[in-house]
Amino acid sequence: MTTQSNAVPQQPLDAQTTAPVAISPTRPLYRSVRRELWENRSIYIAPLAVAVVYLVGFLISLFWLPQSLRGLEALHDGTPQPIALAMPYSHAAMLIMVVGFLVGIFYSVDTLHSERRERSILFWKSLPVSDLTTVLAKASVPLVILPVVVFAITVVLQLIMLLVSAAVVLLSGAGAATPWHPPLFDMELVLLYSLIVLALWHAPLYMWLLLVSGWPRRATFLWAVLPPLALAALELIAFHTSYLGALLQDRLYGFAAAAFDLKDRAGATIDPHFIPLAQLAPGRFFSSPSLWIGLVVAAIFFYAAVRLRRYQGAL
Amino acid sequence: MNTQSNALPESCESQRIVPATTSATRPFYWSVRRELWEYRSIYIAPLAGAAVALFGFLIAILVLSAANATQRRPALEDPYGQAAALIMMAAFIVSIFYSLEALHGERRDGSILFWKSLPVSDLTTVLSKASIPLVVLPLLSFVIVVATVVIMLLLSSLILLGSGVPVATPGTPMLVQMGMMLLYHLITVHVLWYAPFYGWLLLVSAWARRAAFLWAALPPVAIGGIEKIAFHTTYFFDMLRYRFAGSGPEVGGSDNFLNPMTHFTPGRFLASPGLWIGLLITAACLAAAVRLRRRQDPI
Repeated sequence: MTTQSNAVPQQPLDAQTTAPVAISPTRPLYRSVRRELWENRSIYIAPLAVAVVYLVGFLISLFWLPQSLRGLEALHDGTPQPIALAMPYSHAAMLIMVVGFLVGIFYSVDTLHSERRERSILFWKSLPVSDLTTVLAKASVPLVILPVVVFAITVVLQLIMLLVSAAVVLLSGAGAATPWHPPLFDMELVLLYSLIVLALWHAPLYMWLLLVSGWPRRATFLWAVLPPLALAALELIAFHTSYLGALLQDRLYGFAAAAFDLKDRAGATIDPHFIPLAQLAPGRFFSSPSLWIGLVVAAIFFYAAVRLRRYQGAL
Repeated sequence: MNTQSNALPESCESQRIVPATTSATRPFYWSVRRELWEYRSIYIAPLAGAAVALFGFLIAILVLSAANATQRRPALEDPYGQAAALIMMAAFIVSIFYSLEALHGERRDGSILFWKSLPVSDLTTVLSKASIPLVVLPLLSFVIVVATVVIMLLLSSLILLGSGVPVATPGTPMLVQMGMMLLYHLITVHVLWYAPFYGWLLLVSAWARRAAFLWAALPPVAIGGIEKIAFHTTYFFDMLRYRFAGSGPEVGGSDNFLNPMTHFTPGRFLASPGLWIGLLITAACLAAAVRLRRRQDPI
C-alpha cells in the first residue's frame, strides 16, 4: 500500500489524464479506506489514547515491580509463574482489544448513517466509486483495519513495557537472575490469533450494524439493538424457549470455546491471562459450522447494505 | 397537563396582550413536548415492546388452548413478568440512546440556533431533556406495562374460558401489589439509582464534538484500566458494577422484582450513602451540561 501511495507523485500527470482506464481496480478501494481513516480519526486515536494512559499507569506500577518480583520469587520457590508475569501485558492487550471492539461497534452503526445525515453521500456518490467499493471499504474498517491497528499498538506498547521494566530490573538488581518477563513472542502470536478469531466471529455482528446504519432514517442505535431483543423476548413468551437468546449470546462470547481448548492436558481450566500456544485450536475453529454460518449471514447483511446504499439519498 | 394544552387556543389573545403572565412552568412543559415530538422513539419503542409481548402471549395462549387440558403449564403466569421486563428493557435502552443524543443532535443539525433564539433558558432546556429518562420514560413504561398486563389478562380469560382450560390468573389484590412493586422498582432502580449514568451521558452529549458514544464509554474503561495496572486495585470497576447491577442490597428484594415475597426496604435504600453520592454526581453533571450548552454552537 505504501508503494502505491508513493508512486502517485512520480507518475506524470498527463499520462493519467490521457489514459484514465489504467487506474488499477484496487485504487478506489484503497482511497476509500483512506477516506474512512480521515473521517473517523477515532479508529486509531482511541486505541492510542488508551495505550498512552495505560503506559502511564504501568510506569506508576513500576515502583512496586522489584518488590513484587521478590514476592513472586518467595511465593513460587524462585520460579515466578508465567501467569503472574504476563498479567500486566495481557491486561494491556485486553484493554486495547475492548477499545477496538467499542470503536468497531460505534463506527459500524454510524458510518453509512452519518454520510446520509450530513449529506456528503451526494458528493461521494458523484465520484466514480461503486457502492460495492464504498461499503467494502467501510466493512474493512472493523474487520481488517481495527484488528491491525489493535495488534500494532499492543505490540509496541508491550515492547515499551518490556524495555522499561528491563531497565528497572537492571537498576534495582532485583530478580536479575530469575525470569522477570513473560514469553512475549508467544503472547503476540496468541494475540494475533485471537484478533483474527474475533474479527471472523464478530463479522455478522458488524455487518448487521453496517446494514442498520444504512437503512433507518434515524435512531440507528435503537434499530440495531431492539429488534434482536424483541425477537428473543417474543420467542421466550410465546414458546418458553430461548434458542435465539442463546444464539445471540454465543455470537458475542462463543469464540472462546470455539477457538481455544479451555482445559489443558491435565484437565485444569486455563487462565485467560496467559494462554499457552498448545491451547489454540485453529483446526476446530475453522471447521466449526457456526463460524461459516456466521460468515454467510455476514455476507448476506453486507450484500443488503450494498443494495440499500444504491437507493439511499441524503436524509 | 391536558387542561393546559386545551386552554391554549382560548388564551391566545390574553397572552398576546400580557406576555408576562406566562407561567414559569410553561416553557418547561413545552420543552418536554418538544422532546417527545423530536424523539418519537421515546414512546414508540416501549409500545413496540408491548405489542411484541402481546403477540407472543397470543401465540402462547393459542398453543395452550390447542393442547389438551392436562398439558397446561404454570408458564402462563410468567408472561406478565417477562412482558414487564421487555418493556422496561426497551425503555432503558431508549433512555441511554436518548441521553447520548439529546444535546448532541441539536448541535449537529444546527437547530440549537433556533432553540437558543427562544426565551427558554439553558437550565430549562437541559432539565427538560434530563426529565425524559428520569421522569417521562419510567412513567410511560409503568403505564404501558399496566395496560399490557390488563390486556393479557383479558385475552387469556376470554380465550381460555372459551376452550375450557382452567388457568390460575392472579386476582385483583395480587395485581395491585404487583403494580406497586413495579412502581417501586422503577422509581428506585431506574430513576434514582441510574440517575448518574444519565447525567454523565447528557454531559458527554453536551460536550463531545463527535463520537459521543466513544467519549461516554472510553473514559470509564481507561480509568478502571489505569487503576488496575497502577495500584492493582479495582475500586473503580467495582463501583461501576455495583452501580450498574441496579437492585443492590440497598434497594431490597431479589432479582425478580415482581415476586410478591419481595420486601420493600425503602428506609435502607434512602439511607444508603451510595444513593446520595449518585444524586450529587447527577446534579454536578447536569450543572456542567447547562454551563456547556450556554457556550455551544452548531458543530
